[in-house]
Amino acid sequence: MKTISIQCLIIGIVTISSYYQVHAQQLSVPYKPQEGVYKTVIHHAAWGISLASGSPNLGRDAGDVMISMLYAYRYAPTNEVEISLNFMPVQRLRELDGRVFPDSSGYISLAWMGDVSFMFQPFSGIFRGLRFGIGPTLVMQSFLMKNSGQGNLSGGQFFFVDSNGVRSPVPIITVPAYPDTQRADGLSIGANLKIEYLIPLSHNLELCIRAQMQAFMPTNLVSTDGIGVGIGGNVGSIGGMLRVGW
Amino acid sequence: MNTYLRMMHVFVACFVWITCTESTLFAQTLSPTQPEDNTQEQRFSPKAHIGWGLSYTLSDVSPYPLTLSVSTFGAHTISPFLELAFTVHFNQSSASEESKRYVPVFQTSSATFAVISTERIAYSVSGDITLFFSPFVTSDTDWQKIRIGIGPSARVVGMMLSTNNVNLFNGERIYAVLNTRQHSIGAHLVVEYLLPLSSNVDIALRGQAVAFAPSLYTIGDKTPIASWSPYGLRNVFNTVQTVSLGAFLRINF
Repeated sequence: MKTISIQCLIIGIVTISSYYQVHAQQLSVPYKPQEGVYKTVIHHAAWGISLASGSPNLGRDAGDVMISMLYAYRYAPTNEVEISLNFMPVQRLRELDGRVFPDSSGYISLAWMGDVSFMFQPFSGIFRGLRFGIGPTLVMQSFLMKNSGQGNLSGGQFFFVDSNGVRSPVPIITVPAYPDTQRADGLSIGANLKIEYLIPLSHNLELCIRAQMQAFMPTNLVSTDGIGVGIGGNVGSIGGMLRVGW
Repeated sequence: MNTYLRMMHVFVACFVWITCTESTLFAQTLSPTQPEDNTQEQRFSPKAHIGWGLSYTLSDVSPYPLTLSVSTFGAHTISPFLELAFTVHFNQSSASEESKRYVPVFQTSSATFAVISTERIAYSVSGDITLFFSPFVTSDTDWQKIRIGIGPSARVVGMMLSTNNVNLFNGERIYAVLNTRQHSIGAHLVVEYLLPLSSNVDIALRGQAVAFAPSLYTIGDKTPIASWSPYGLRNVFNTVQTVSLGAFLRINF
């Protein structure tokens, strides 16, 4: 079912892009007349959503929604530098008939990816809208997961601390199932690669079909809590953005 | 349901108030006794606005500590006094807390538990549609930079909370993991102060409060988000779920 959904999404994107391309040609607002526009419009902002998969969702399932926004500055007729922010919240609840299984309540994984990308527009003619981008990426990930297994707690003394700071020993009588919770926060650096196609909608509005990938290393620029290992990996996504120029 | 009715009453009252005041102000500008103000006309010539912002946020999703929200918006000027904006806010928190100075206690029908430590991760994505109103736009003082906005809000919240608890009577240790995703609608109130930087760039200082009705659709644990907040803030979060103060970069074109 999810494969069919992806296929439907891709077919939909291709259909919409084809429609707008034909529509733009019919309106005689294609690439040549826009040479002037591209010279005068130097600032761009865009918002969009993508279907993304990778480390934040453990590479499982069909993918999750990633929300993106960016600002781009055109410093040459065919070159831009852009700053983009992508947010990918992933939540899994193992659910059946409205009830979450107590032994496997899933996880939440949150990823913020900040990209600086240098965009190049190497072609002219009908491929003028095709652009490539590359640049560094900063990734912030937070992760909390409850495994379904059980573990053992080692012994030890626990204290109850009241509001006055008085500590009272708490006797340990029973040790119930240990949920084996794993938590991690990490900040990593990496790189991004983007391929996109711009479809003009009006003199300052464009539809951007974008495939992008962020790969990052387990560098842990700040402290990592919980499981104590760096979070490396990658995220791949495909989606659309609405671009406004001024 | 009463919450929804109250929200609807507030909406209607605010809409009537804005409509009446807008008409009065518009009539003033058309009045022959009003001196012509070409600069004001030029100031309102931009029709579209976009921007991004950062806010310190206190909310039931991230009650402690204060977290940063990232926001982005698009807006369209309807008249010199009115503007319609659509804003999206992203917020997340991730924390591991040891109960050192203050130990929350919760009771079940048969026992009392102390929460030794918690691990929490939460996110929220919320969207606002705001009708901004500039009540002092005809003033020659700095008051003209103040804007007030109201409108509906919607949000999706995901939270996972793992608690390590001790039964205070027999020392039994119990772990609990709560995982929920809740979808709510509500209303918000915004007060904004615009600081012009150039002809087409402003900084907007924005204070905002958002109240959400109980979750319309919940996956996972059905417990309201506010009930997982620290004890001292639960009553606050039962009424207003999010309060934020931040700054927005606003581009006019």
